[in-house]
Amino acid sequence: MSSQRVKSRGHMKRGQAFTLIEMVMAISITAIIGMSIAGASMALSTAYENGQDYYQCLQTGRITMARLEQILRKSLLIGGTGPDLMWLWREDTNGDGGINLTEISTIAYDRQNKTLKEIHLEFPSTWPESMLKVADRSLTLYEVTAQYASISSFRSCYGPIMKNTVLAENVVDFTVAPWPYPPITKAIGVTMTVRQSDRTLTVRSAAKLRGDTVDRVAFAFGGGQSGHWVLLD
Amino acid sequence: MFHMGENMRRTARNNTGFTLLESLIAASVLALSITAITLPFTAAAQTELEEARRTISLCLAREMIEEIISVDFYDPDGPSTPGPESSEYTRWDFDNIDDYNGYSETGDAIVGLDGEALTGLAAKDLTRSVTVEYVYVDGQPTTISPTFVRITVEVAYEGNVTASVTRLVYARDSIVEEG
Repeated sequence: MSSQRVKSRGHMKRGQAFTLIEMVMAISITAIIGMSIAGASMALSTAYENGQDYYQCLQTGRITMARLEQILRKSLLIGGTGPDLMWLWREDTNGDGGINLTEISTIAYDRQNKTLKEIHLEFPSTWPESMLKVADRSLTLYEVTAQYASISSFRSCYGPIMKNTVLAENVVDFTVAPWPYPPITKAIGVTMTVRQSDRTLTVRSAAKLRGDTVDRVAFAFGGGQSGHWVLLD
Repeated sequence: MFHMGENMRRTARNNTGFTLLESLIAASVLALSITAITLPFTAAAQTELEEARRTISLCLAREMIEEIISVDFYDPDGPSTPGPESSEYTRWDFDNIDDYNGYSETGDAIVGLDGEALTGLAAKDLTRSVTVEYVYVDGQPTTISPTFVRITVEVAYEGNVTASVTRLVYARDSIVEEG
C-alpha cells in the first residue's frame, strides 16, 4: 500500500509540466549559452579572416619586393625619382650602348587606386622595321634625367602603346630612397606598405644596380653656370 | 519494503546538489573544450606574426647586403682593417666594405637608405648586425692581400636569429701583391 502511494506520487511528478519559473530559467540559460557560442564563433571567424588578410599582405609584400629587386638589379641607370615614381633605364635591348625610348621603364605608385605599376612603351610588332627605328628614338641622358623622360608624362601621345604591368595592389604607401642621387645612383631603397582590410604590413628592401653603367656617367659643364649629365661611350 | 527503501534512496540522491568531484570534472571538461577551440587560433596568430617577422628580417638582411656591396671594396684612404676608421662615426661615413664589420642596430633604430626606421609590430625589437671578414678561397695563395670578403648580416628577435644572409664579394681587378 505504502509502496503504491510512493509510486503514484512519483508518476504524478513525472507527469507534471514545467512551471513558468523553470521555463524562464531554461530559456535564459539556453539564450546565454547560445549567445556565448555565437560570440565565440564570430570572434574565431574574425580572427580567421584577419589571419587570411595578414597572409595576403605578407604574400603581396614578398612577391612585390622580389619583383622590384629583380627589376632594379637589372637596371642600368636610375633616371630620376619623384614622390610616387622612379624612372629607369631598364636594359639595353638593342645593345647599342645608348638609351632608347622603349628601354625606359617607370615604376609608378597610383595613390588613388592604391596600385604599384611598371610602365614602359611597347610598339606593335606589326610595325615595319623602319618605322620602329624612327619611333624608338634614342634619348640623351639629359632627357632621361629630366622629368619628361618618365613614361607617365608621355601618356597623351603614347597612351595606346603604353604597357602597364600591375606589380601590386592594395598598396597604401610607397617610397623610394636612391643612394646617391640619380643618375649616379648605385643602390636604391624601397619601402612599401600593404593593407588588406584592417591589416597592414610594411616591408623594406634595397637593390644595388648590377649594370655598373654609373661609371659611364659624367657631369658636363656647359656655358655659364649650367651643366648636365652625359653618358660617356 | 525493499522497493520503498530503493525509491527513497533514489529520491534523496536526486535532491542533492553536485558533489565537489562532479563540479571539478565539469569545470575541467569546460576548460579543456574552450582551450581546444581557442588554442589553434592563438597558435595561428602567433605563427603569422612569426612569419611576418621572418619576411621582414630577410628583407632587412638583404637590404643591408645590397647597401654594403654598393660601397668600394678597398678603402680610398689606403689599407684598412675590418671595422670603421677613427674618422667614421656613423654608417653614412663608411667608405668601403670592411667598415661595416661590427656594425649593429637595435630596437627601433634599424634604418634604411632613407634614414627612416621601420615601424610595425613585426619589425618591433629586431636587431641587425654585420660581420665582415677577409677570406682566402681554396687554391688562392695567402701571400697576397685577401681579395675576398665574406659579409654576414644577421637579423634577430630577442636573441634568436630570424634571418641570416652571407655573401662572398670579390675585389675585381684589385689584387695587390704584397712586397
